Amino acid sequence: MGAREKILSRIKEGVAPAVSLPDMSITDNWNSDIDVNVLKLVLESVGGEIHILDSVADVDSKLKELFPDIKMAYTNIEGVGFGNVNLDEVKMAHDLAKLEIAVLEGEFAVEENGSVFVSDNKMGNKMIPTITEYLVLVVSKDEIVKNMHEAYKRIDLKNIEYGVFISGPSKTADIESTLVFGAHGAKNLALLLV
Amino acid sequence: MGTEKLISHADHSRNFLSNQLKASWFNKSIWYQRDKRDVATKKLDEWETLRQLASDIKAHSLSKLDEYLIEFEKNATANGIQIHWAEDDKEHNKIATDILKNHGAKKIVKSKSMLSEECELNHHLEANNIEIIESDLGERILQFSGEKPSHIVMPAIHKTKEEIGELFEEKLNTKPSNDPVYLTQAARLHLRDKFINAHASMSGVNFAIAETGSFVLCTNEGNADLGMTANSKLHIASMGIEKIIPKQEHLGVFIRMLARNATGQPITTYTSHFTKPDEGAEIHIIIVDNNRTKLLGEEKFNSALKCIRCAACMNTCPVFKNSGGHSYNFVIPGPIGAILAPVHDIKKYADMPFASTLCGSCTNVCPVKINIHEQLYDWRQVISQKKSAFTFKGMIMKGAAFVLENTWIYDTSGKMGMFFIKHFRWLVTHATPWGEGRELPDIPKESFKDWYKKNHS
Amino acid sequence: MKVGLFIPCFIDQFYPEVGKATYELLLKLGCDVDYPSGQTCCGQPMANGGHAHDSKGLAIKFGEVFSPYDYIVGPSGSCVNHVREHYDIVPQTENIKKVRKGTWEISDFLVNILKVDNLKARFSKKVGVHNSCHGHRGLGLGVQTELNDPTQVSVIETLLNQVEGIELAELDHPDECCGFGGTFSVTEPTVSVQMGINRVADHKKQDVEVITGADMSCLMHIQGILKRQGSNVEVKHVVEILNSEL
Repeated sequence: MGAREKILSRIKEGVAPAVSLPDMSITDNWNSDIDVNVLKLVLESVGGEIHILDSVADVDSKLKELFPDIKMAYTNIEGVGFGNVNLDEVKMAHDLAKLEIAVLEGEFAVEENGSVFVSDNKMGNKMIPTITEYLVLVVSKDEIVKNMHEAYKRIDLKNIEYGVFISGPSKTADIESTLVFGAHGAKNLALLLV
Repeated sequence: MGTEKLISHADHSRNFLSNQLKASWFNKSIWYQRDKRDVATKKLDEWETLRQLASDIKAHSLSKLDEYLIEFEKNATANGIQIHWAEDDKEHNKIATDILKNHGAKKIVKSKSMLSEECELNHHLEANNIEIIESDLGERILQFSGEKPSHIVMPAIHKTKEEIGELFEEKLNTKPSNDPVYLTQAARLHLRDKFINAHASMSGVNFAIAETGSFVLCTNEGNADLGMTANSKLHIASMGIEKIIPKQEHLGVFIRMLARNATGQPITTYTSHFTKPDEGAEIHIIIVDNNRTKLLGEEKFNSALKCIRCAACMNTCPVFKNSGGHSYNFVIPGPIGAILAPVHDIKKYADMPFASTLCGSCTNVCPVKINIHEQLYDWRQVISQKKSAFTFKGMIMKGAAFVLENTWIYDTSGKMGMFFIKHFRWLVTHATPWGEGRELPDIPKESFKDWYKKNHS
Repeated sequence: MKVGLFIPCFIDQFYPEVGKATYELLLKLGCDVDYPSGQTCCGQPMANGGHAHDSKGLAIKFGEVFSPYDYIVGPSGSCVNHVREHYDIVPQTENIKKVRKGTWEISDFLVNILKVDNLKARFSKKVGVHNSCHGHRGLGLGVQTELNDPTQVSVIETLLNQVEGIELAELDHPDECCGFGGTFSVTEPTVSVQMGINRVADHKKQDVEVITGADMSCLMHIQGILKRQGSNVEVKHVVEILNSEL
């Protein structure tokens, strides 16, 4: 008998009491109207910034205003002409190590924690959201959910290779509990609501 | 095989507290975590309901653990993930090493995994000439200093920035500095190079979802994501059997609680879900038992397997705050460590359930409602019964019980005790543990019982 | 209502005045109080040290001594908690079932059974409350800071707020353990004393004159530290304050 069978049979001998799964509909009670201001405050509290734009058409000019002098940037959002990285030329991590800005489309934002869900089909390359120095996420104003219960109703993990909620820039407090941004991932994060 | 003689928690603590300045600094930094946790959890009116949901979901998962593991295995395999099973630490390490060797992987980056610490994976890999680099900043600091984590969320919380500055000067050739921003930046550059040149990545698992075959990793630094994506050819994730939850919808409960309870953040910076490997790449998951099924068979203790490793119980524990994580001999310190350790080796870790005042704060902060302080009490009973009934303490307890069961002996010996304390006060104050930092109470003229008899006969 | 007075062993031996104050207070409030002299100890010290199996006889004895009473009231949250929570080690006879249900910590009994809302007492000092863990979390006598439950009420403060002249201090950490912990105080004396020093510092920061609480064992530990420090901060069981004359 291999490890698998041994472990499974020992689990059967376990004596954990029978408990039924709770009714998750109670989480519906915690859903309510979205307040963009709450999202803004939360995102700022985790080190991110937020810009509210009239439409996607304004993204380009906003980016030029935010980043006047950029050598290496990537975007795959249609109608945004900001990027200059061609992923066909990217063969390994080394080729993206100097990436300054990545502008990606987020699926939706979560009011309670300032996070944005980004799935692999919008990343261009899976390493882009973390390897870039500055991450810009573009999300529609209509795509904000209240909390994580609502968030998980919006996604289907079966259809995603890799998906990540990103809440502000990468951070660490491993040195004397002092918060420092830019541990390994993006040092800055901006959310553009359009 | 001789039993390794370990320093007791009491002796470790005495040593820890001998440096009062550092002990006070440590106490404050742990209180800071607890305070942040209180603020974050009180912002959610539904907090206590979430705790109940989380507890029920985990308890249910444990009651059908075999079914959910099989479901997870089936779905993950269909997604292209390769599943392995390991009965113990040795088997886990062997499987990991074999996979790495088969791929010719010599340089590995790993994000923080308490299970790999439990299995002492790094030693094993190094012995096999595989370079393993911890990519979590705290873990990397400890890898430099040759220490074990003293905390499960903030592994290097016991180190001052001055100590880290000196360490980095030696290991990374940084200039003399104790500025956390500068030191973090130095680590970023150093580890960026490791990420880019690694042959494979490793991690633990925060949650595994049976329904979808996915696993979730929660980090603030982004090291798990960068490790997996920068070198997406091979990843190995180590997972304890208890990490399983039934469905995707259940994640919402745990993700809302984990970071709030751990650090006071509303969510970790990165909450990452992995379902399928890239084309041509491999993801392996090693499902590990290592005494977890043994714990599952312990009626009074198996709910400890609900733990999601948020560390709130250590951040609130007054004993942890005043003794530090290294005072516990098990890989997981604090209250949760003290109830997980005995099942691994009841003799070796016999003092851990006693390193507590049973104050119950751990139970109150636990997001999955593990009755931690009651289990500490229950482990004490098991350990005391297992130890010979003829130990000195055991004899005293039996003697005390005999006295107390007999009212007249109690009445007489009470008087004798009082007489003893009254007349040998100096001895009691100077030669017993009580006198270490405390005076004895004044001895009254008569007991309450004597007073009552006098006035009511 | 017949009340059996439960005076825990160390209060009997070390703090008879706390026993007297408990007794007098209950009489003042109109209870029919009796002190059964066969009582010794509830068994908690042994059980917390891991020797509950040696204390079964004490549980049975407690059941025999106290089962004649409607209520069993004592000035110690931890002993009461032990009777209620840990007397599952002996067969659940009628006696045991009755005493597990009928044993009350005195401040809890005053607020929730006697519904005392106009206590005639005076105590003109600044007082810090030490919330002893077993009463505080085990019996739910106070506001547990870890929980997000705004309905929690402190019974001790409910009573102290009825005392004329008293000023209650606001502590940084109102429900942190003092480090006594029964056998812990002697098996881990260094940590125990350090925790006690930290608690005392919190009270001293608020310039309290008296530290009070519902558990004399913790107060004994705190008193021992204060004495070693040469402090003039006093320690009083809450019943001593509630029993103060107008």
